[in-house]
Amino acid sequence: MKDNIASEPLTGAVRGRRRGLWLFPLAAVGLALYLGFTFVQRWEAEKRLAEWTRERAVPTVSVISPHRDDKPQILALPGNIAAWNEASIHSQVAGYVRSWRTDIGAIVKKGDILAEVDTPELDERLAQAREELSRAEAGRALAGVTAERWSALRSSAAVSKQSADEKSSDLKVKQADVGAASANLDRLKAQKQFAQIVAPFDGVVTARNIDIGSYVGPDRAAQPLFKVADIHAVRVYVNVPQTYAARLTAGMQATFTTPQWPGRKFDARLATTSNAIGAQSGSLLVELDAANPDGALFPGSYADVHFELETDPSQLRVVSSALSVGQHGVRVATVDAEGRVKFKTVVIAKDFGVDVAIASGLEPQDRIINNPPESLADGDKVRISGEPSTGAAE
Amino acid sequence: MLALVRIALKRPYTFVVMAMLIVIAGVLSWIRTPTDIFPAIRIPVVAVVWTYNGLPPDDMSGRVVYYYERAVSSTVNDIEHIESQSMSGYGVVKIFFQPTVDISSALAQITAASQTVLKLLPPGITPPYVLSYNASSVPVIQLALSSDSLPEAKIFDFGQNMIRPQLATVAGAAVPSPYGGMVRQVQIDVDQAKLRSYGLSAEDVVAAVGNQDLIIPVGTQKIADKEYVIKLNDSPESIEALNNLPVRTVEGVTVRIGDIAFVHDSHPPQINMVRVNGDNAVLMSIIKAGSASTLDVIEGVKGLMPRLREMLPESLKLVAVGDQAPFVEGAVRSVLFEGGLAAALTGLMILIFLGSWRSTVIIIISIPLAILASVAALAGTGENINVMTLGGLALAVGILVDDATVTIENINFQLEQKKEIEAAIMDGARQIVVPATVSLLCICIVFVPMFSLGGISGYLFRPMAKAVVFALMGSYLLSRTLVPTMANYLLGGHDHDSHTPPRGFFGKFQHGFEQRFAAARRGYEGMLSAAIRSRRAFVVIFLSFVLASLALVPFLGQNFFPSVETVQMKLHVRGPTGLRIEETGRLFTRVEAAISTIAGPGVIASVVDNIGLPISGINAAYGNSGTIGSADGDILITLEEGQEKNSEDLVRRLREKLPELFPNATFSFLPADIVTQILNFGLPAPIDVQVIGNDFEGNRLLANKLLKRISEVTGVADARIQQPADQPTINVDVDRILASRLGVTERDIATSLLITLAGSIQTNPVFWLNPKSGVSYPVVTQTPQYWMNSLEDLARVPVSRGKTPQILGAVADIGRGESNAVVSHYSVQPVIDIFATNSGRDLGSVSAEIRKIIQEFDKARPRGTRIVLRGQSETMNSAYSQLYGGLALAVALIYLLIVVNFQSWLDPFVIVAALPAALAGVTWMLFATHTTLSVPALTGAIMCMGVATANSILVVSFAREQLAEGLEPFAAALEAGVGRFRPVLMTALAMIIGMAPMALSAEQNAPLGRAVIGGLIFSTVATLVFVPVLFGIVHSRRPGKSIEASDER
Repeated sequence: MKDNIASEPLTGAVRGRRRGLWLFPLAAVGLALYLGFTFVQRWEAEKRLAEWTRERAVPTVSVISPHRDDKPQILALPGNIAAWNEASIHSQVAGYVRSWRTDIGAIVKKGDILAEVDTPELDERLAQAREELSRAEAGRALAGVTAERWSALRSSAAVSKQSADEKSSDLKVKQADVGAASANLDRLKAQKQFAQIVAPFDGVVTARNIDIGSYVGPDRAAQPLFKVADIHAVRVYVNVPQTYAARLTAGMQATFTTPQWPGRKFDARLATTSNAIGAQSGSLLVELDAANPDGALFPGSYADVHFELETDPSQLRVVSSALSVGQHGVRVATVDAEGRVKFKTVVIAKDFGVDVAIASGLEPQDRIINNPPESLADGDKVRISGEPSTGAAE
Repeated sequence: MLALVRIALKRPYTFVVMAMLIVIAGVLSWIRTPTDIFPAIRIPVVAVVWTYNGLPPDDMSGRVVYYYERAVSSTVNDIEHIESQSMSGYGVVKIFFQPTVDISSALAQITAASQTVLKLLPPGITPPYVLSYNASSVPVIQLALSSDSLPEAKIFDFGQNMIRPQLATVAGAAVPSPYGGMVRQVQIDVDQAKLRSYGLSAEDVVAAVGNQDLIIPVGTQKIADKEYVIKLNDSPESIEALNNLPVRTVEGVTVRIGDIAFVHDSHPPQINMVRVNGDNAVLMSIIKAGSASTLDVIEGVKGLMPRLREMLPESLKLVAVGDQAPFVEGAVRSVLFEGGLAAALTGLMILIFLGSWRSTVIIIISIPLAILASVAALAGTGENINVMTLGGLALAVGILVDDATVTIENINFQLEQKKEIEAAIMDGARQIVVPATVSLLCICIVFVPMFSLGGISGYLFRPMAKAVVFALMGSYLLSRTLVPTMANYLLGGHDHDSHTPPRGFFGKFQHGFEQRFAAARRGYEGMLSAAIRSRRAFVVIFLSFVLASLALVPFLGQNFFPSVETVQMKLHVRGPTGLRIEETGRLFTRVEAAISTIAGPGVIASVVDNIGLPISGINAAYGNSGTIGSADGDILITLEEGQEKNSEDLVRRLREKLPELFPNATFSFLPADIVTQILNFGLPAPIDVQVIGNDFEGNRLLANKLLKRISEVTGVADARIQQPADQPTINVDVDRILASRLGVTERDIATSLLITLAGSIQTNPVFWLNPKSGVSYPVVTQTPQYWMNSLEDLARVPVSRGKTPQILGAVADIGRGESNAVVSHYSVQPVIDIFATNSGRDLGSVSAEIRKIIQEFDKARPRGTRIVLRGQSETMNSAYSQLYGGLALAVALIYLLIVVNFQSWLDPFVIVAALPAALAGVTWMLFATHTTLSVPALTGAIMCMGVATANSILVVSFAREQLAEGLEPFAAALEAGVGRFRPVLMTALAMIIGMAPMALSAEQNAPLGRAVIGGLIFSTVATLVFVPVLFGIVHSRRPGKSIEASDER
């Protein structure tokens, strides 16, 4: 085996060297070509990738324009509905209810009898007065005859003038007595008329607190017998918090809703305000008038009153999602002609929730970035998306 | 060692039995050991989840999380770091531990700390959930529940109360609350208008419910001979009955709850939405916890499904989605296939080289035995069967062949010397015992650095190194025991005259092969002698070529792990901050439509959306996609089978088109495959630049500038800031003096707003027990969100209680602001994360550029602020530096080992000088195949070093023998080269062929295979040419010194 190795190297070496002579440069050239090719390829790929990355690094944004809108601001406050007129009806006379004719909800005309009161005491006094009148009349009749007689006797000078004058003045007294008795009777009669409770004006009976046999009297503190409300129109009272007080003026239009009429809107006009802030409630009492042709509005009910506060239609508005609020105040990001970001500080005039009115800091032709990425800074390049974008959902 | 061989010959049954035992133990462990994608990553993490309904992120951070973090950091031991996310209503604190932690005592300390701080936290807060998991706890399968007739709250109820307890019985399955759907609860919808009309506030309603729906035991009473249980109707029997509870009586009129509110069986406002292919659904994510096997968990869940279906109503559909089993099985199967193919190919190679089926049989029997021994040893040390250990075994096959082959060849050689079989075996064994031991030690030593790897890579690669080392040890042992035994049976009495004419087809083929091989050897001999002749030029050219090749390394790029192609993609979409969930849902619908247009028909198989924060904080703790609120969510896209090749291109196109189509949304692609999810360790991106410090405004500005620069780095994609600070906020500024004049306090206002907007459950928890099902449902007083939809509605919220009615607008100023949508802390300091992914470029170069940018910004940073790069890129860096250090250490150790072996300083130098050639080969191979450096590739390089060293030792020791016999140095070198040509080539070829299937696959271990092949090709050339030449040069310079043979071969 060793002999083999010793004898063979020569031939092998010669062959190897010869082969190596042309093999090595070829391999080197091949390698260089491969390396050159692959490096160029890799370099190009990297350049493409760099470009791709840089392109991706430019944020795509959607832009919107500020718009104008005269849509009013809504101020919604709780209110109470009151009748146009409302009367609590008490009894003028003491007595017992004999009958009542109208129940709650009855529509009454002025003068309609609501109830009658039995007044036995008054009746007694009436009878007494009548008797007294008859007695006075009888007295006056006697005095008249007497006076006539004495007057005739006087003309024949049968009686003294004194006596005759006495008799005639007695007649005058008796006449006055009759007048007094008659007046007393009239008074009692008038009082008797109050035993009939009547409606003071056209309206609806909203309360009835008596039943037959109830004792009623002219006590002011007692419950009223009836309540009658005039609801051809209603008044709506709203306690307006001081914050909003200055913005409500007489003559303003408002709408309101009530829980019993879901979906129905009633119109009202601001009639007057109390012009004073209540110490207890800290609010301004505002009265609104509303027509109630079909009687749908009940006095005492709760109303949700919507005031439409006028807004300045010339003010620019932007959707609130375009604002960025931070330590620099409120800003919007705009895109200039070169596609660069410029932040503008704006002053909010009014916040409508979905959008805000801008008092200053914005031009109508500004292109505003909606939902600006937080990392955006002045001078950044952005790409504007082709997609039209309007709301927060985009 | 020789004693073993003697036993093998004298008592042959011993090792036959041993082989059988190995088979039994190996097969048993194979069956019993859990199979998984990765080894268990035992880096313990404890997540603590605080919940407080309606608490904004800033308050959650300041009032809950900070307190807790400080308490934990001072009372819990072995903390590595603490991270936290404060979101709206949730605070998730994640405590990462040192691997050495005793997790049970840590858990006890954590629980104790949460009890301690409880009293300092907002009133009504409940103790947190404490969850313990580790880095490999990722979702392995998901169950989707959908129905076309049942309401979502009912579906959720089924998921939460029926399916979840059943799933919990599957060993190793952690089941958080379902995603999507709605939690069933008793909802008291308060009508603000009615409240105002009665002059009541929401708090009155809450008080009424609290006073009327009670859970108070009243006791028993003894009457006569019985003791009666007193049952009070303190809780209504039906939900409808709640409507009749009185709130207040005024003027003889009683206001009941039903007059001002509506009580019904309902759900809280939706915060989480799941859609499976566009249909609303409820998704239950099953997470693998503990050391259970992924496959077992999935199998267990699937096994339960028929029973679950029986428990559910017919109209409820239950399907499994996002099943990771095929991925795991596929990965394991392909590694097994590659290993099997490798074994078959190398067997064939051996057959061709040895030309003897008997010898081949011996080798082919010993390989599986060595592998089974390794499997048994792995199981014994607590490792599972996974892609890493299987890869290690596949890697080992090549070397195993070598061990057995060398033994057999030597026996054959001795037999050819006409020795008796037993003597031949003994002599053969004696000759190779030292070189075999040295080469075993060499290969084991190169794997030593693997054991010192820290972090995730350590957990991944230690089992692999173990697998290789165990297999090698097994094979070393077998070649001293079983191989001699079998050789004794099979080779004895066999005709070993190689000069008999060939018989049969194979014989002829083998004969032809031998002739060719001899010719090749002659060619090699010529080349070697030519090299020896022009040695200086050769050595210079060779070394400079090798060193020049190493200059290619920077062009390779670095990745932690090679990316894998999967059919799953996860797209995270984030709408403008504060987008409400309904709108986000609509945005997702449009994004989905755009995706399917961009992808084209027949590409997408299914789409699952998961929008918004999950209903339970537990899910928030497990989640790793960075969802922070209702404005963002994930789209999980599953491509049709076979479309995974196009996924990269699809991602690129989506990255181009989607931002163009949806300028207000940001998009990022998250890892969908289980591997990258594990490697990212809970982060949604591989690159995480953190700006840490207390200067909030300054850091925010800095982060914005950093983001801009980072997103311009070539190859960076999806750069984004995780913590948006532009959450639209409405500031309600109460004029306290005015309010107090009107008899309203800040507390009244806060309570009214809480009940109106967030619901009463947090401060006044009330429950209603459904007597039929035995489930308690929370009773929540709240104004339906659809009734509170304008600034005016907010201004009109009644704020006083029982006094003059007041509304919020009367006492407060309502304005706009912005706040944090999420507050994150790192080690109890606020942090802003910039997440980014590399796309089209390797992670190493991208993170190197980012590191440069960070350095630039170092001057611009506010005082006390730190900018830190974290995430996978950092894990990668530490793994690389550890591996490089380990590699250098391995070279040093090898050198020292050979010094001991050769008793010389110079010869080891010859061997070590050849090692760079292996690295050059690795470099060239990776460069040519466009493979980046990665941890598997480095492992391959390390492996090459071992094999190259072992081969070089063979050559050098042979040359030393020749030298000792008195040959001239160059003649000895030539002799050694030619003499060792065959075994060296066989070893290298066996490895190369064994690695070929792996190198050609598209799996995670492909770079390993490629690196080994490239490295071995070059190192074989170096071993066969460079080493003899250098040996000659070295020894011819010191002619006087004689060499004592230090080994017998």
